[in-house]
Amino acid sequence: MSERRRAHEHHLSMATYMALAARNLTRNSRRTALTLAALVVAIGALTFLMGFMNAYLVGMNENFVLVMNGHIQIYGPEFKDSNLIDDYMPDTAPITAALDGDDRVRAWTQRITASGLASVARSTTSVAVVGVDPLREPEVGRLRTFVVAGEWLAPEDAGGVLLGVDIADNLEVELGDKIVMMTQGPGGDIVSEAFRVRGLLHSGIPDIDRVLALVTLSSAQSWLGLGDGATEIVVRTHEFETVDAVADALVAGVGQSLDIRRWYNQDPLIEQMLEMQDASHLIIIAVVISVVLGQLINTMFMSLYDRVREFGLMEALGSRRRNLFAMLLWESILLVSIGGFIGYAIAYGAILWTAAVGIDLSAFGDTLASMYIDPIIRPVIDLQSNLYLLGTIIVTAILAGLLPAWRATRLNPVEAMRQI
Amino acid sequence: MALIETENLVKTYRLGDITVRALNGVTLSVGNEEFVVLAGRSGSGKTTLLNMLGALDMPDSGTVRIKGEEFINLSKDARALFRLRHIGFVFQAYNLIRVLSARENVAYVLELQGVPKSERHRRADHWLNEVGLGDMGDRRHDQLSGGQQQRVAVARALAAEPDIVLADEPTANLDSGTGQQLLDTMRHLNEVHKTTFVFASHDPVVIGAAKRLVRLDDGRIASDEIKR
Repeated sequence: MSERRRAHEHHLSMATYMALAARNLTRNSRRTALTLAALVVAIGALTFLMGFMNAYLVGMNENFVLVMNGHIQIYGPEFKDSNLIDDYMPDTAPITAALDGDDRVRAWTQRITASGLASVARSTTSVAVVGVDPLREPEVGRLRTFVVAGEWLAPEDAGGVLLGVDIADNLEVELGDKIVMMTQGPGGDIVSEAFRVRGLLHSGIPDIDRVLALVTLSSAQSWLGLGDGATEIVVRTHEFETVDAVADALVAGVGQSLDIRRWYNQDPLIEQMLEMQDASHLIIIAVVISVVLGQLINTMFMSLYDRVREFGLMEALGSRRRNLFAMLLWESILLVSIGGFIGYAIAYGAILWTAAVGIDLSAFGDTLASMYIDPIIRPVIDLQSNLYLLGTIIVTAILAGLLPAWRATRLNPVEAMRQI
Repeated sequence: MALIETENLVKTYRLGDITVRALNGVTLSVGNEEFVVLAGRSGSGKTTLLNMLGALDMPDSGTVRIKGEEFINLSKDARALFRLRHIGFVFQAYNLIRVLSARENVAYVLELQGVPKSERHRRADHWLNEVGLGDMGDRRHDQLSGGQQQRVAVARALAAEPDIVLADEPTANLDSGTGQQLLDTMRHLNEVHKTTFVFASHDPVVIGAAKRLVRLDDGRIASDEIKR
């Protein structure tokens, strides 16, 4: 025998392994069909579920940023800890100049935020007074879109206020009514001012509907005596991906003594949801794998036991253990790949269709809105999800084939050929 | 040097509480081109001896050498390689890989031997033709009769160009006419291609075809005679 042939001894081609795998799968077509059905359902459900989760998580992130938080928030160094108006930023010009000079920044706006009380003759309720720039604010957030009665603030409207609908209900006020708002000015002095209700805000988000009282930035500055200062600057970038770079540039440039925060650090809920995104994918994958694995391993073992004599024969003919191992493993991989592909294809079609028409969860609108989730979900599959799915299929196939394949290598050819 | 040499082979099995001595000191020598039948009643040890000659089973003591090469202490994979290079098998039944055609069954062993695809198909067709199945290469086991399946097994064994073909009760599931045809084919191949055949059988058809008859009784060689 030539050296070249000896080098190829015991090497079966992929074509041979695949032919054996495919033909053995058709040996018991009913069993194969049942296993394929389980795989199609499992991989299909997993694919669609991932698409659904991606949609609401991406939507949640965007909504969180676009409602009023922005991609980046800039505060005075102590403001977020003390929540005192004394810790405002008296001179924001260097910061806004830096933002204007950065092409990655789409828009920015300044605000003044202060805790206070809103009163009418017979009732009082706590509010978060927020002074906004009526022209810049809509470029950064969606507060303007939540006006359900009345009008958005006019820049020159020094005495107007927009209230969350729940505040208006608590105070029993309507458009045009007068309310008095009271808060602490610099140095701890209590300051109060009368405003007239110009509009009502409804968003479904408790932080807006139950506590927000919007006034113009200029009226807040003059009321609280902050000059041209602000408690925060909110920045919106063109892309999510550039947020860190813009924030880093701000820290390196003008922000050495400022508190500069990124969107994903703003809300513990959002941060946890993001951290949970990968974990929840993995948990779902683990559940799906464990559900289908039992069926698959059973199928592969049945396939092995049906052919014990044949494996004995192959071993007698000179097949090595690795040949038998590879045969069962490829059979498992082929089975899972076919089931996975069909399941993925069906789910992908379902994702495209539901993305076009949208899954309407408006019945849970306020609950979803409170978590910054759109009531119309449009599933989407991204590269990372595809990689997760591919990994799931490969891991499932290998796990299902591993034990029966190992068992095949332990067969004694003489005993195997005695099997009936 | 003899092609096959065994020395004092001993093999015991446990069947529940009973210990059965299947081979009890078998010493045998088989030369090139021989056509040997190991005969004996059921339980005499002929299949056990054949399995040891084929490196499928290991003795408790004693040695087996094929072309002077000892394989008792080899690993499972090394014994598979030994079988691939030196030994062809024809079993009593279930001889074929069911999902493969007759041609693919023959080519399977050739692929394991590293024979290039074009050559293995040519050789498979040649050996199928030699056993009278030249036009049945595409048939699978369920499209072949029992005798035809045994012939495919013979073609597969010979295509690999082994030193020895071991056949365990190859006619057990065949009618006497078909069994005789199979034996005639194997005897012809022994004479033309000088391949050594060793059979384990109690079938009179096989025993009648033997050039050398070794009778086993209770795990010992009871007689060893050259017939013709």
